[in-house]
Amino acid sequence: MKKIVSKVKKELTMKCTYPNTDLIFYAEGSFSKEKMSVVESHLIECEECTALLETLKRALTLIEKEKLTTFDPYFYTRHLTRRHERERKSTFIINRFVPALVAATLFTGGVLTGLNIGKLIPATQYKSEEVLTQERGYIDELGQESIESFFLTLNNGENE
Amino acid sequence: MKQIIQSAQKAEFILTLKSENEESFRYLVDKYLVNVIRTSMGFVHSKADAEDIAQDVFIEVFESASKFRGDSELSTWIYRITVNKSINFLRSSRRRKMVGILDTFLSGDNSSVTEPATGQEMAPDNEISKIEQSKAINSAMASLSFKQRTAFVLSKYDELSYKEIAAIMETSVSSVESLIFRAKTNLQKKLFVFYKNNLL
Repeated sequence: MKKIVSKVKKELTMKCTYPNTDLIFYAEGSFSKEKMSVVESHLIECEECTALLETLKRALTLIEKEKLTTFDPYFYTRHLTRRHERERKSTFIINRFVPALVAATLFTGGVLTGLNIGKLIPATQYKSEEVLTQERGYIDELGQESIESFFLTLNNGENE
Repeated sequence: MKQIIQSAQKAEFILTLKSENEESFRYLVDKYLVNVIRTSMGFVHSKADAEDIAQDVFIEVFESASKFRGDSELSTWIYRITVNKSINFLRSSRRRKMVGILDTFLSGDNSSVTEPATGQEMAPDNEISKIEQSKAINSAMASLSFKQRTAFVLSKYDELSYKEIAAIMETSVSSVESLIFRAKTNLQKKLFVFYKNNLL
């Protein structure tokens, strides 16, 4: 009989709702006095909650320990080194890429300006393609006509 | 009167910071280093990583001091940078881990997956259980959303008031209250699962 009673008691405690609610607030001590005493009386009966409370307390202690971590006493010196390195890197990038970028911009700018100047000159100032071909024809013919054929043409004219 | 003097001193200090005065910057680092490291410890749980984050935080503070308008407190601004840097660090380390796992999977080499965590190889039994415990707590904290985690860390690690946390997170005091409540409840649930699985 005793065994059955203890088994039922155990089952009842296993169905405890505390682990999924607010035991962590008790562990922190953030409850009111009244609620603290309610939880305390529950803890006397419930082994599971007591064990979980221990776990929560351990977790909170670990957090407290993490908070106390000491840091590098040469932090500021390392910080200065890191900052100077960054500055050096950025000046290196400026020294390396900016001149190339400036040259490329100037070149592109020059080409575009040339094209725009070309567009500004009115088309009437040009000689038409026909006139140009005719002029080119005369000049070319002079160069191509040999002196012999010139005299032959001259003689033919006199004979007639 | 005291308040006026204090605010005038603050304004003057901010001006010296903006003019990149090394002395005032050193004072700033000395004053806020502990808080910055504590906050980042709450996110990354590693001293070396926390110090790395702190370095990045102070570099950003130095570089963008000229942009600081003084709308909020200087400490609020520094805390905000710290939280952002820590979250970015976690995101990038998560990405690195994923790439690592993918790499091992593709190369067919699983040695790094089965390898025990650092510091665990030569540790005695009680040390192992401590490492396991802190790993369980860290993973319980990692399961929280970034908002819950930020509110929890600022409250638990830095012991800031709900009002200060609300200013840092740019939200209302009541939402901070609810975030911290949910964070603690979720943490308890997770720790309960670990306890059930005999991990704690």
